[in-house]
Amino acid sequence: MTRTLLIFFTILAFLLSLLAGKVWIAPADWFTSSADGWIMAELRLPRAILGASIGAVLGLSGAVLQGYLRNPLADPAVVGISASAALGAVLAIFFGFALSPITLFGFAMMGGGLGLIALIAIAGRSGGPLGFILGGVVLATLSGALTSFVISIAPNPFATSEIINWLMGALTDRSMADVAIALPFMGVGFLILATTGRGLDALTLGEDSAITLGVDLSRLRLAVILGVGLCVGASVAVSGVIGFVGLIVPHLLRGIVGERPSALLIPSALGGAILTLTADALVRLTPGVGEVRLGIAMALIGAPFFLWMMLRVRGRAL
Amino acid sequence: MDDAAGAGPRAVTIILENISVKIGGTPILSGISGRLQRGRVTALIGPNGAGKTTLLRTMLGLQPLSAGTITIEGVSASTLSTDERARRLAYLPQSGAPHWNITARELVGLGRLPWRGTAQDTAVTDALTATDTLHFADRLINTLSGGERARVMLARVLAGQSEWIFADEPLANLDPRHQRDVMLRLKSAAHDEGKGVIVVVHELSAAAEIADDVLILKTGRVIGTTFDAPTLEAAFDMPFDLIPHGKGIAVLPRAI
Repeated sequence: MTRTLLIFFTILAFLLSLLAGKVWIAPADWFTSSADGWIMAELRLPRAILGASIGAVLGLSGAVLQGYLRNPLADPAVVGISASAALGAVLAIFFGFALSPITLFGFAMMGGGLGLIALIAIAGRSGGPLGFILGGVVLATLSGALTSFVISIAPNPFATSEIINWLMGALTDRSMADVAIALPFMGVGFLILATTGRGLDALTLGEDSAITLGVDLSRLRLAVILGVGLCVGASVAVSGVIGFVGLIVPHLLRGIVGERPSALLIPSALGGAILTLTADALVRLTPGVGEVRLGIAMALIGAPFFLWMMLRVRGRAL
Repeated sequence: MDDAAGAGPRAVTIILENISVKIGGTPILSGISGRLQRGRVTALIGPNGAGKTTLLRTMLGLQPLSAGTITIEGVSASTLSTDERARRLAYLPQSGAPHWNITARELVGLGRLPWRGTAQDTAVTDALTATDTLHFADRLINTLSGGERARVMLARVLAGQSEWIFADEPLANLDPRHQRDVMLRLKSAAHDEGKGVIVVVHELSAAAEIADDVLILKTGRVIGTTFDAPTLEAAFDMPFDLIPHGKGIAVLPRAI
């Protein structure tokens, strides 16, 4: 029932994303060769596909990480992959390789991939969630520092502003080429994460019980790192850093579909798509010539929500 | 129980041969040998730090051996696959509070994971019925009392339909009535269903009531396999009186 509703709202949000913008395009004009038809095929459609798929993989990554770490405050950014992918993209812009979306994406995926290898090396084959968080924090801190360093030595104000703009995260002016390179990575990551449900459920009872229920914890950890790495790496590579989707969505849905980790996975993917598509449609409607960057809009919603959640988890007292 | 007596390949026993475990270089278990049988309840008794939980975890494959062998029904424990081990040996840990607030039925359903099963399996309903928890199966774990939760955790283990159950202090923090319920359920699992039940028990009168066999441990060694006053005194460094009481015996620390 809940799942049917979520699918319905996902479709609705997708259609809204196609309709809404500085120019409202009626469905009758979607397939015509007019200017409206061009906007639809070249701008709106790739943007809506990216919004849906990025939202879905971020929501799913969040649900998997919260289940794996058994912590409702975990977020894909915790793993540090988004920071290392961002560093890759920033380097591409810095060295002037960002002229085509393919090279920018390639650099970002390379950054994310190196981060992934570093994370597997740090979190290793042994150690529980602690090694995982430790590796993520180290990776995020190092990548963040290097990104700041690159910004500080940028050759001209134009490069600086381009980097900063990109870091804020947005789905503006993405093409079908972006869709074609990002989607396969997200798809593989999605499939890997979708297999983790059984292991995450078993972890509800703690690590010892999970092992005696037949779960191979080192394989589960590898699947989590790889899946989240591919999903988050590819989404950062194509859209910049869009935070808080992975944090908010699973948390909101826990109250509706229950707290069992495997029951939360697909709803979180759908919820992430709904949130991202809707937020992206709304930022397009902001008055004026430009639009609020999606990453900023998400953070503006996300930060107060995070605080509210902390207060609730701690029993209404800081 | 004919074949239980023989040590043949089909023997329904777990045989511990001279097993030792070190954690971070510190010896926790030293040269433990013993034989645990299906259809019987074996109690592990001993003071805090004697190595009871470590022994349970070692038999479950959670703690690597530094020496010795464990043979489970004629097969070396180290050759069992993860799945096979999960299906045959179930673990009821001491602190099993679930991390997420799921329903009692969902929690019991986790016991079906080794079989790739779900909370809809008939084994889940059977386990809920056997522990008298079916009537609140759809309530969330956080809304249950300690006694109700303990029975649900026991149901989770029963739902796995394993041949062996390892329970670490299943009676802790329960009132006498719930202790009785859990004990009877474990006894019935052994005597009526032919499972091997291994329990860590601190309450000595309860141990006397539940156990068919005992392994009494102290500082990582087995110091006795009989439940009597001298062995208990040696284990706990204090005297006890064993007093016949109803069908069982009451174990009382002797006033000094």
